[in-house]
Amino acid sequence: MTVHAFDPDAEFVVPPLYKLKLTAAQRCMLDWIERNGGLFAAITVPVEDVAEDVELAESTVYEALARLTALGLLVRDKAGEYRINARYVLSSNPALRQLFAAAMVDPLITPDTRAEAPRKVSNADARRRRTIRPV
Amino acid sequence: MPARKRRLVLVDEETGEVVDPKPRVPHDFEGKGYTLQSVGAETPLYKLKLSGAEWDTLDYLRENGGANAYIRLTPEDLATEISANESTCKKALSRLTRLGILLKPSPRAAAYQLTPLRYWEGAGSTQVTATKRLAPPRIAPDDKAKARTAAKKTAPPEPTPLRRAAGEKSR
Repeated sequence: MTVHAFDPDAEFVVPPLYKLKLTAAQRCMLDWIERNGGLFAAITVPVEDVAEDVELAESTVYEALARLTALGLLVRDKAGEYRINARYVLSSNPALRQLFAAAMVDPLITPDTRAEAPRKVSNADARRRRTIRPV
Repeated sequence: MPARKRRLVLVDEETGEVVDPKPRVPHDFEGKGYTLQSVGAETPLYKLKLSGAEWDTLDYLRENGGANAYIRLTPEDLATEISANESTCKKALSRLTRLGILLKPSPRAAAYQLTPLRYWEGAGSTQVTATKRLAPPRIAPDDKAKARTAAKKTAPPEPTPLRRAAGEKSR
């Protein structure tokens, strides 16, 4: 069995959103979900309310949700809630993408013996601890 | 002698009555993480009736360094990148600039930057500095954004509350 080494440039490549030929309605839906917390947690998308808020027909909202889910930009869970694919953040924030890619290949931060030893106190602090001041 | 404790109150200048201060409004952030978009401070983009090409233009700029500096962009280059007509791209750039989402260093320059009030890549302190330096206009809905569909014309649109963004001076 061949084990492939992690390649951040290959793993984190996300097609740019402007190459996906999304319609304005689909972009509006993505923006609505992002704005309502769908980036950090799965949220309920009440189609009637969204259609009212975004000023689209309900059928357009359903179609937009279906295409975004088919593209993988939205992740739908069993409860019917939607969450934005976390890779979308990497796509739209290149600086974060570089940071995450570097984090995946950088060495682990391991505590050394000095870190495990008790914290060193200054001479003044040590003297203060030894001296019992009269009240 | 104990120090006198100062007590400050809000007083209505006309009537002289003591007014209760307004309760603090919780921040939109609510500890849910870090986002690079100043969500909550501006009119939502989905309310502006942006076209597909306008959304694509925003995405292109965001992914190519337009979120913290001016980048050179002509309608011809943009048309190739987002697979649209040159005239469509020209209109998209023009409308986004009029809306205040894109900034130009000078009216005739072919360089654009996303407004730091809405988009920024980098430290928050540099966003504040950029906002002070550029003094960008607020994103203001234009006639197209205000136009409502026939079915919705009866109900008046809800006003969007305005709040000052980080580094923005009061107007």
